[in-house]
Amino acid sequence: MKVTLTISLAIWLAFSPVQARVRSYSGGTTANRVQVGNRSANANVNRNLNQNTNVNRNVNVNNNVNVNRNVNVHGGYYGGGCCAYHDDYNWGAFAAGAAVGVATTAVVAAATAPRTTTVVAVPAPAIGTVIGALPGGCSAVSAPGTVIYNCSNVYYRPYYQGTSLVYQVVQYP
Amino acid sequence: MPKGSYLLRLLLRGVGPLLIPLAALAAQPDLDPDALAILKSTVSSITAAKNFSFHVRVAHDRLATNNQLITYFRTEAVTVSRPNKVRIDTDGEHSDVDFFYDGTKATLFDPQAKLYVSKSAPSTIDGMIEALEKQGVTFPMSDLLQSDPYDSMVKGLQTAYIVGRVDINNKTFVHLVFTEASADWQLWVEPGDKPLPRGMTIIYKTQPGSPRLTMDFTDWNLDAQPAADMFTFVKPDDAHEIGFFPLNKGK
Repeated sequence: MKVTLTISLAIWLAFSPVQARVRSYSGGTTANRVQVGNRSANANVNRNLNQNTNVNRNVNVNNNVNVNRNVNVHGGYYGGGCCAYHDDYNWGAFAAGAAVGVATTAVVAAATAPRTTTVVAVPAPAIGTVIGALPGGCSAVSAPGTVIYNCSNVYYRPYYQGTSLVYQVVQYP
Repeated sequence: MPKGSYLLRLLLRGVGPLLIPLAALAAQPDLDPDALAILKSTVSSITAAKNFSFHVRVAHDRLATNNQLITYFRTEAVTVSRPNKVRIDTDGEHSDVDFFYDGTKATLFDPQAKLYVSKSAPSTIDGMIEALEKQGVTFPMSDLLQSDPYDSMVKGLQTAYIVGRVDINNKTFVHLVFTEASADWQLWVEPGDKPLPRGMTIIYKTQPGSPRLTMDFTDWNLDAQPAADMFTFVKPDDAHEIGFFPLNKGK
């Protein structure tokens, strides 16, 4: 019994520094955090898929593709999963879409569904960006003729596009 | 510029206009009158009904950025009172919205988000559908709500055929297939005194990825008794009015 205990203790001592190292590694250097941020942003790709505009209403889906191609920020993405191999997985894609002036349906194609993942260090979306659902933690602000949502100091104005709700990032107040 | 290519262009410019009527001749429609007759009587069952209701399960494809078609489902409970009242309750992925039309106003209301848009609308269902389409609001089954949709449904048809009878879930249906320039569509009709559509599939073949729209119709009631107030939107206290997203000016 005593021997077992000693061995256990020895094992514990042997492994605990390793655990500590692992912990400090995953807890994160700056570089590590950035990576987490990218991965979280990558979840946005899947949201893109979820919120493409209605194909059956002759919306220019091709524009959407162009938007995505404009932003090839991260080259060798690690791939994996069923759908996420594209190069359009961060807010930059949405911002670029707005910048080239496809601020209506084409950008809606880059819209997002409700966040299900923890998003770390994702830059705020650009003014004019249109998404399909609000992020969490928003509060309604009354405004003339509409309502504005304050989501962590990013302001969204809701619209109906077809029969769907969309939310556009606006300057506010 | 070589002289030969100039002559070739000149020749093409001369022949080009001749090619267009030739192509039109090649694409003579081939329409089976029996297929059109079944389509017409099916549409008539619905246009003859003053108050009617049905459910439709809609599956529609959207092309994702990886060029994969993603299929979304929703169900819509539709109630119509001709000539000027419609209620559609939609429940689906990203589209939980109720639609009200009472002959004067058309309203979209999302009961979860508590946001609505309400516009004055033409005084008939036909006019309302047309006005909403200009606003980008469409309903896939809207043909069935119109007063006389048959002509517009067969306009531009290239082929119309009867595939035959098919048994699905112990019921017999007539399977019709149609093609037009931008879409191929199929209809499954339940025969009877008042034949009714049970299924419809549309393939938008000129859209990227050729997305498909499938509608399964159930619970047809051609003698519905809708509550008088179900077509008028009553704003809940905590609901906010918003607008339509600005459309592209070029459209």
